[in-house]
Amino acid sequence: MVERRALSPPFPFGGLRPATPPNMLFIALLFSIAAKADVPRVSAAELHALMQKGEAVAVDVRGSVPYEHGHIVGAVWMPLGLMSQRGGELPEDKLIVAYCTCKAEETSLEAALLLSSLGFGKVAVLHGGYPQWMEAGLPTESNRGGGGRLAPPASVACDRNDLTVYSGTVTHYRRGNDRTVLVIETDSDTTETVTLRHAGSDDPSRFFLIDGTPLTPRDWSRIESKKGELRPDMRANAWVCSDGSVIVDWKPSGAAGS
Amino acid sequence: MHRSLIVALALVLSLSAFAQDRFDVDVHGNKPRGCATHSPSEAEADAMEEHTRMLISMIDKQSGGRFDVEANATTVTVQVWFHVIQNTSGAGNVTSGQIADQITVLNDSYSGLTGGSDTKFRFVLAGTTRTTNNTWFGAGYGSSAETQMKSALRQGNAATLNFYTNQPSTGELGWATFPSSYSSQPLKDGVVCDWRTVPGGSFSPYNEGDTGTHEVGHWVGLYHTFQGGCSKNGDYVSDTPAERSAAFGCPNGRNTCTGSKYPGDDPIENFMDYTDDFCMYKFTAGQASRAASLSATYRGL
Repeated sequence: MVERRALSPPFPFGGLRPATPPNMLFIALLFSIAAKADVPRVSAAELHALMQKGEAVAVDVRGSVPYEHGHIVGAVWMPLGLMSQRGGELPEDKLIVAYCTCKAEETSLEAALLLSSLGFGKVAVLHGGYPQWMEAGLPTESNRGGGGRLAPPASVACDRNDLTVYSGTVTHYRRGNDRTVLVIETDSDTTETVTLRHAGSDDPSRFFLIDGTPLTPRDWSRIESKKGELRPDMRANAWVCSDGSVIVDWKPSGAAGS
Repeated sequence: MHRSLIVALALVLSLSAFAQDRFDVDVHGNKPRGCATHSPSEAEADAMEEHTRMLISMIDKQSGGRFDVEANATTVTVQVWFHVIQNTSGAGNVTSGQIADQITVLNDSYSGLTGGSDTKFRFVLAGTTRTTNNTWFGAGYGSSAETQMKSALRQGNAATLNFYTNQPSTGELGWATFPSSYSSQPLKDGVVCDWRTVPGGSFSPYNEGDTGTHEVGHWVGLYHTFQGGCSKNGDYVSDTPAERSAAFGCPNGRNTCTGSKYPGDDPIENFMDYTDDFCMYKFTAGQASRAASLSATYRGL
């Protein structure tokens, strides 16, 4: 069930500490590489099966931002930097599987070694990390956007009974003369394509808002880095009426509520 | 050899660049969800039960009973701190009567009095703070003003509900943090509502206090009913019908996920949709169960 695999050793030390004698450092480095090669790797499917049986716990060793953006359902959040203080919170009778988003499990291997040093006997890392888990289509949970409640801005004329909203991060954007197309990865975990038809209108305020107030031409610089190119991680609420009309409320401040 | 290992570990550790914050909560993790199965509700329930058992055993073992998870308790009372922000013009001045009414709305909603399932949550006012600050008054979701406001005013621990009222300049009715966020962002924990949404406020049709009920729903671990659209897992509660996207107003008979796989009209009467306050009046038994499980795990409630 648990697969052992030889590891091409990464070089984990970014700089030397002056107080450490060179020969000691060399020995330590060799030892670290050897120990890392001994850490078992489990596949995403194996980890999922073990968690379902209550035999393993996944430990997310990344920072809070990637964790909040999406993590394995049931994972314990314990970044590497907090592990020496809080490692004792983990169960001793289960396989502890550390995971990160890194090419060769660099961070999770460090976590696994640390946990071993804290006395945990059953420690492994997730092969391929979080990307592999997502690739396998296994359950994730996101706290993106927080949980919130939105009210239609005053300029949305659509009857509320005919209205919906897609709130999230804009991942694709094309602004043409007669139409603008957006793809939004919503905070509700859906992907939505929204088309605004604005042929014959020079007035962006009819179709676009910025934080709830009508957009003026000079506001584009807060939304686009240059003409037609969106600033990174731009958020928007697309208010879509059942008659096909759309108003997009840009959220350059990162606000959206969801 | 052993010393070499310790040195190696010390070096590895010295390279980690994460913040060394200390948090109050002891156990972190999320409830698992069923997947890759044709009977999600059953599998999900099993997985949830197993995972909860595991986490509770972790809590018992490691915190010396600091969290008192009472399996037989019928209700749990949440201490609520109300933080009223107003501006120098006097806007935002929620009265103590309105605060009492908001607490009553929460109790009516979470006890099932308004027509839904009885959840285990009850609410009592622990205290009120009042602050005049124009920047905090306009604090929106994710803003630095939000962080400052919460850092300055927050009370209690993971089990304490911090309820802020202001007037977000970015237009949200309100927002909240999830239980599993407490471990990574304890200072941000809590709910924020536009002050005009509390009972008797001016934000018609959102002025009956249900924004508070909705946000507290997130705070105890509930997703929107339209989470995941028409996908199999949806909001991870099996007794809320699937819903393609948020509903507004009160569109009776709205049914956005059609076909035999998706029985039932959209749950527009559910507190976790976006419909008008008068339209929403219930939580389901599945939501009560999910909220109880997540709150016990992450908040010790």
